[in-house]
Amino acid sequence: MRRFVLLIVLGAAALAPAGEPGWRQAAPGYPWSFPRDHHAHPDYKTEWWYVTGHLAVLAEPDAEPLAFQQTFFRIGLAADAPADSASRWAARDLVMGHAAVGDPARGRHVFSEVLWRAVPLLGGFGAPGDPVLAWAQAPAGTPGRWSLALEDGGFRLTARDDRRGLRYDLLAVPTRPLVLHGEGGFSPKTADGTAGSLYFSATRLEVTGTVWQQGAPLAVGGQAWLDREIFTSTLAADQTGWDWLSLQLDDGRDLMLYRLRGPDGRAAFALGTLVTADGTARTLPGDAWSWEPGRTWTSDRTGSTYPVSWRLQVPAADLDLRLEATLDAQENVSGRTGVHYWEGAVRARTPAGAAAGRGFIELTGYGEGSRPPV
Amino acid sequence: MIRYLGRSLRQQLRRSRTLFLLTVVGVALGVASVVAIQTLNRGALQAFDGSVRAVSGQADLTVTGTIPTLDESLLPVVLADPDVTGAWPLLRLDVAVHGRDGLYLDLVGFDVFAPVSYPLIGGDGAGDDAGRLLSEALTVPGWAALTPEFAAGQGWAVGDSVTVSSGSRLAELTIGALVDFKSFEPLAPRRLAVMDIAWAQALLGRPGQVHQIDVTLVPGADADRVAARLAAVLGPGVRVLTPEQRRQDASGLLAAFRLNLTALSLISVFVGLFLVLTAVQAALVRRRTEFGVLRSVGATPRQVLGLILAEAAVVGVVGVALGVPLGWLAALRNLDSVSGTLTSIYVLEGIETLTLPPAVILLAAAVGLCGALIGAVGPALDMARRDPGTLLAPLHLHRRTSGTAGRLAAGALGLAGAATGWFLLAGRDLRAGGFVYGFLMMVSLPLVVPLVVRTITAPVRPRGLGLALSLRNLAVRLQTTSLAVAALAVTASMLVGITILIGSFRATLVTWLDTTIRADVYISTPSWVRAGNDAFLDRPLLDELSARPGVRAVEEQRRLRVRTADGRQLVWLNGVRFAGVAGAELAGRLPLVGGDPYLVVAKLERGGVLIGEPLARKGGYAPGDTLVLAGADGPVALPIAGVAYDYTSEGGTAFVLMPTLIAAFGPTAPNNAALFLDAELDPDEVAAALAADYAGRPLVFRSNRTLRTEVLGIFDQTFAVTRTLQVMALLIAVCGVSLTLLIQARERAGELALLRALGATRRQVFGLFLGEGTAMGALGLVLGLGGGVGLAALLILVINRVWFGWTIQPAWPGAALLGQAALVLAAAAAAAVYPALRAGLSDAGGLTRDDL
Repeated sequence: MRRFVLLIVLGAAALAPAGEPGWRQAAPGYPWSFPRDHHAHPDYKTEWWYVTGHLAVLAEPDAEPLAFQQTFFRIGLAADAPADSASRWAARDLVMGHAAVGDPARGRHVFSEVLWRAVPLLGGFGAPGDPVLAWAQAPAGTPGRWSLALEDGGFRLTARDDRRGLRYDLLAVPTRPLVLHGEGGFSPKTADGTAGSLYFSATRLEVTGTVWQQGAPLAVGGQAWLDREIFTSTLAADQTGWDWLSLQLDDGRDLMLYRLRGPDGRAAFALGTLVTADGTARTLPGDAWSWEPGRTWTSDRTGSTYPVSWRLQVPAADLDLRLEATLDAQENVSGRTGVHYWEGAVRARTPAGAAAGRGFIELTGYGEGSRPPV
Repeated sequence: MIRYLGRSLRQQLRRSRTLFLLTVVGVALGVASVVAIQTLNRGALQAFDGSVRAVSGQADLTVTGTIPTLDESLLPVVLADPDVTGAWPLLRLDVAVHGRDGLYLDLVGFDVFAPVSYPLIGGDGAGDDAGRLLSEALTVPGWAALTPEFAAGQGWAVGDSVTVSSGSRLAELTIGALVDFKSFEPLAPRRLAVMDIAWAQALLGRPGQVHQIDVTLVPGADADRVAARLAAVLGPGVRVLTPEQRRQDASGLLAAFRLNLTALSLISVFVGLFLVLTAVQAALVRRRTEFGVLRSVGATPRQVLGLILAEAAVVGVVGVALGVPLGWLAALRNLDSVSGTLTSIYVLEGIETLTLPPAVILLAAAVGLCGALIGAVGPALDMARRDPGTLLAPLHLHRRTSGTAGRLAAGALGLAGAATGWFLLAGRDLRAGGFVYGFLMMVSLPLVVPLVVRTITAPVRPRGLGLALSLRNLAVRLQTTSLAVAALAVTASMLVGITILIGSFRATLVTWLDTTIRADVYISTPSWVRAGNDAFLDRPLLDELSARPGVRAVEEQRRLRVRTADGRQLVWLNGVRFAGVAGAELAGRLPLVGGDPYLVVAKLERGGVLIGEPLARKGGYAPGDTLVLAGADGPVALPIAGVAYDYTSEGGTAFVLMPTLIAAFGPTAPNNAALFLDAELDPDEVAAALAADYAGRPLVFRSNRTLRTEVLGIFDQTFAVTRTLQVMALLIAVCGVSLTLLIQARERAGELALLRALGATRRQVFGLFLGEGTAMGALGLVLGLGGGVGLAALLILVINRVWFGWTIQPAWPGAALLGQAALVLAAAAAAAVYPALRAGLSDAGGLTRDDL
């Protein structure tokens, strides 16, 4: 029962896409300023910090890299919540954390989550000036906190769930300038531009740190991608989910694509960004590329069927790639919210089969009851 | 034989309905008292259980503070334990509904976002409503979910605002949802209200505080081990309890209360046994000839025995069938007073609903059946052993009893002597020793009855149809009259014993109130009655009061529920600040058990503690010892300055001066205050004026006199249930008198016919029987007075000290005792009326050859 309740709390925004009283709507012309805008934006209802990447175990350089994900969500409860309650339990926001580590070589994908009200005891979001961007008490049964913090010009990421055997401590340092998507960082989600998000990415981060596997620390190194979105409403009533892709190509280019699907499974709205090796970003309209699913995989746990291979063509960028999941079973199933989605590492190859890069794909709204609550 | 049993039962019902009914009523009353008491006892525990389960039903462990509240920052520490799957804080407060006298809500503030399925939203929680309600619970100020039952009772609906008070603080609740918690937990209290912990803390002024943290564990985890591990990491100010331990805590608190009731119900059963014995005896006497015939036509002694016991069993079954509903009604009738006692004395949940569990029905059935069988087995054996010739011959029954009266009395003396010896040597060291001793003495009392009755009545030489003949008849029919007199004696003992106990206790309490209640006006809050140490007075109010013209001094009291460091003893620690009251005056107000009050005051000023007598007895403390309490940061050692009489709690009370309390347990607001007024002011008038001045505030002002009256009112309420039981026992005993005389009317049909033939009028025969009934009442009363005084001594000097730890100064509640004596006599006389009427109906025509 509980998960449905939660789903609906989280989904309150989705039910009222046209506007949430009291919350600020994402709009073009946002005056970006860093590091301030790495921090939370409490005027908007929802935002997330999404870090995904590939990590080679230094001791096994030839093995398929591990995949990792760390996401913090800020979910606003009420725009007009009293600012100064006598109780430290009074919360304006919820803090939700998702973390996953995938090990394609061993066929294992571990997902963990936390969901608390954002209160001093359990989690929250640092104000500008505070190195901590977001943190949450680890899930019950595990000591410590999950956190995402500014450190040494990069981001320190920690997550731990002893019961599920997930733990990492990573430092991710951007090697390219931040990319503002869409028009000056406003990324529309509908054709008429009535809904959208403030959206920027750090498309390449150099990652070093430790991942624990079966309790043993492993030194790792690799590359990651940071996505930041800030919004009050995104999915329109007739949108059921989205496909999102980030690719780090071996030729130095980075590509981000997303499409919002309608009930018929077809793209209702799509947009992308191509970043060249020198950091120059170019918006790719939805008709400038095609991203066709191929092989599918069906989850035993949720019964949802997800594509796990694709053909991607961006003629303007001279790209024709085959994308293949490094592991089919990369579905994240939230016990708390009932939400399930596929968030997985993919390899990119040329039609001839040559390695072309690595990326991450996120698939939401597949299967019954999986419409994302945002 | 079975067919014969059926026929003989039908015949008995037809021919001697009254006799049969009285026997059944006796069994039924005994069963009823067991049912009533056990139902109430269980109700008390269930009320606690239901409230725990409704709120913490899903918890495998509960973390509580040794003092009532706990620092919420312990939550992450709890969450970090490897076996914990969820943990959520709860703030529990009894709040008074402002402007509605005596209406309380059991307010639970919990993390509505906790990973626990709680029926915040009715039904399966799915749907738009669920999300909206959860969101509102977090964001609408004062949002609370109430039970539909409670809201309907007050005419409240969703969206209404309700003002409640906790201590002197008012808070506005918004009824956000009506949730039937009973569908989730059948024993959930009706007055349960649930809100988010943030609102509870903010509105009720408890930032940072929680009362407990509920914890769920991984399936299969060893709860005791996790509890020990958590207790170790959480530090000394914390207790980690399994649900079973919490239940034991409550049942420990209630032990003395439940024992008190159980002992009383046992007396009823005991008296009921006599009744059964009398009735069976009577039935057998009447049916001697029938058994003689049966034996003559070939029935074996065994068959006769079987027949009698089977009939007794039928009586038992019918008695149980009547007694169970009767007991249930008695329990319902006493529900309010027992419930009131639970909340006012034990600070536990009141009983809202009673259930009649199968275990109680089984127990009642066992008591009724065994009682009937035990009552029947002696006379039945006696009857079965006789040969047909004796059975068919005229009656010789009573000769035998008069021969055994001496032996019975000797046995009684032996039993009493042995019991006394045992008690003096070993029994008094046992907790239940007093009860066992009392029971043995109560058993020996009826055994001396035949000898006493014979000794008093045998020398009487009747010279006509007067009282002397009535008395003489008692001696002649010693066996049946002894039983009735014995039952009356036991009942009267109980009446007298308990009346003396209550009277003495009340007198002691009055004296104690005179010493301790010296201030003129007492100030507390409506929620104090329920929330106790969790209802506070705010500081500005106290400042206002002390600045008021005519107020000489303000005394503040803070009450804290703590435990001794070893966790064994619950202690109400009272911190008292005597502002502006000279030390000499304080010394005069301490009801010390012994010692120099000035010295005690000096020790208190140096950080000592004055402990109540029950605590001293139960913990084995004496002045000079150290009382070690579990503080929030570790043990708190307080030197014991003295021991004072104390009747506020049987658990244990201790007093310190406020600076000592604050040093040990941190600063908090007081719960109560008292004003000392200028001598010329009338406390009642000042209390009324204060009540008018603070009309909108949740404050209760009582003058010295009002407070005293209320304290005594609570006292009387506590003993209200005893009265019901006393009445039941008296009814049983009176049934015994009726029964005895009815038997005699039948048995002595020949004698009565002869008397009538010799010229006795109906009125004279009526008078003869009435005299016998009254004489039985008088004899029972005399014996009962003796037994009652002994019982009172035992209750006051032994049982009370062991179980409650109070010193009660024996007193002689003359008027009450006289009243009861009159009641017993009148009841016995009334019981004789019907048999006397029956006897009066006999005429000379009933004379047979055998009677001559």
